[in-house]
Amino acid sequence: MSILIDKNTKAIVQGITGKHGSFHTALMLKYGTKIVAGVTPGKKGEKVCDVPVFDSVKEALNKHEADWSIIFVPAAFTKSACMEALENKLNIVVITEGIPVLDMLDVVNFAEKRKLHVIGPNTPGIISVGESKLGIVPNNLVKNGNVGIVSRSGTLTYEVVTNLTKNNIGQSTVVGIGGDKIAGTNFIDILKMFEEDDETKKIVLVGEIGGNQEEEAAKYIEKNVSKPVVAYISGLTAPKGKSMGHAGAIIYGNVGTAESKIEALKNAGVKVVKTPYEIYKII
Amino acid sequence: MRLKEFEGKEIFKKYGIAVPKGVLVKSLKDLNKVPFDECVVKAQVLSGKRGKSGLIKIVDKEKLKTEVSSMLKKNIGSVLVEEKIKFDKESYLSLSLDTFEKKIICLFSEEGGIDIESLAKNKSKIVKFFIDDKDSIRKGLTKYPNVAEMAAILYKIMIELDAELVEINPLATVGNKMVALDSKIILDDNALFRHKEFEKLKLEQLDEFERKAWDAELHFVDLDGDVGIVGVGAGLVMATMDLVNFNGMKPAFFLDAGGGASLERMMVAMNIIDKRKPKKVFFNIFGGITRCDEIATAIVDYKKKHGLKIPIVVRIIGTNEKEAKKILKENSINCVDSVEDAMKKLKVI
Repeated sequence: MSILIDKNTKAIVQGITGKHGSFHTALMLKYGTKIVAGVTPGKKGEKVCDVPVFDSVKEALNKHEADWSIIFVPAAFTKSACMEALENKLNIVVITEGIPVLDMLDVVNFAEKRKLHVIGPNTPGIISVGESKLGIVPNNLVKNGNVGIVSRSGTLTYEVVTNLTKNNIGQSTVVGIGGDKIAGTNFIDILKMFEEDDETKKIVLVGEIGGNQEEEAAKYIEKNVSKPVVAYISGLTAPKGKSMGHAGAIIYGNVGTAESKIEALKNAGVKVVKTPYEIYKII
Repeated sequence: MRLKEFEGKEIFKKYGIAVPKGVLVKSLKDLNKVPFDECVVKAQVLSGKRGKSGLIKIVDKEKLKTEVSSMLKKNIGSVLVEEKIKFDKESYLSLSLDTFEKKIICLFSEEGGIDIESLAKNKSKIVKFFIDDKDSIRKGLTKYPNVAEMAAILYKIMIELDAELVEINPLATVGNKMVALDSKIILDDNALFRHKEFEKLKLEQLDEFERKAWDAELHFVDLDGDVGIVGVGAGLVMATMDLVNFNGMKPAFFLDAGGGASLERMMVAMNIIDKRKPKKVFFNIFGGITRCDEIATAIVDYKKKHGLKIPIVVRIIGTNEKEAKKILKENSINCVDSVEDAMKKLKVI
């Protein structure tokens, strides 16, 4: 078992003919993901790695069954791509970075009403180890095991996974929830799934400055999570009022500091490490 | 991007929100245009708490020149001189994003003029509700119809200009009218592509290095230490910045070339490093979708072409790691296997 996706998950790729879309479609197929179709308006009839391309999500779904879409569409067009997928009852993984925040607000509220998942935006996606991958997490880093990872940062996810794998600690599912201000899925949603997942025995949470997701997650963990959680929060020495690469990684006044997050997590019984390279020692 | 007070007030005027009469003063000769007897002098800077830092002063006409010239001397580009108006009371009104609840939130308090953080401590005085549609504003502020009207305008501004925050603090009541004594607007950088007029303002706010980074879609934040921090992915660059601080060194800047950084983008990053001249640079690279050999090639090529003299330490793992290490070692660039080794090396170069 794993969370969100497994070996039977079928997905389409929106923006499949683009540079990133085509490159990562090949890697997802290599990992064993069932990519059944792709969508790029105007490119109907083409193929990418033998995957048929359609003009619209609806056309793709007339011929193929799917439950997820992975979106590699440029930021200016991402909202309409997301809406198209959601209207056709697909869950979505939004890889794109730099989407206007009010666009995303509409997308996540639309998805919530339809009870569909939005992972991201600005995320490396999901990998259920040995089963399926929706997104861009490098194939060779992960190792089968029972640590669930949820993270706001792509590269830090890769560092943490590599570090665990090198020390012979495997993972169940790895989920990037994205570095933007509005995340379709937050820590609490994923913590709940990990708590219910038999395969996951321990959880790693990778947070960063900005917003109050980690503080809310801490409250949730205290009441609802019985599995051990180790957390790392980046940005302890970040200046105030500056976006640190991720649009969501910004401290306004006293809101969103690493100190506040670390304190909340510690108070909830979470072990918090000072650098991402020590997680394997604690877990 | 945050707008200056006068820029925000221009927007307010356009949308029909009353603001005090004012003159934007960039040099002392602009003072001839000021017709008011009693003035509020406000430095147009982006920092908060201007009142406490002496950047807002109330003066009469005789002292106006002294006050304005002392502000302009502090390297403040412009000063807003407004007519001091009499008002009955001050309140607070804002619309912003609740990123956790994923909704636009409206905050109103009958008590204004103080910062929202101290306001938040006194919850009983705050009216707080989410905006799902236009009707929710009317419902949320039934007791305050004038404020509801104002909030509806702020909502319009937020949606039309892609704002993350629109705040009036203080919002003054003068008889049966409401006047915005201040403005705070934060626009979404990611939406500037559809608001070209504000993109221009954004570029004016950037310094030389930030501008280069913005054009090449890199993320650059200047800091005041001497170790430049470079990587390809925001989270790791931030973690590396922390790590350097924990090891008793001070980062000079944060530079994220982004996941999948191309050779071209890396060359811009190298150019920023070269021109910004930190004492040393630490590249902490995890190549996921980025190819490590491309990063190594960029470093070596730039060095060959432009003779970069700043000492470099590179820790590089991931896709095509072996090729990258070979390229770096052949060109005598410090290449280490772990961040621990990098910290040791950084201290001695």
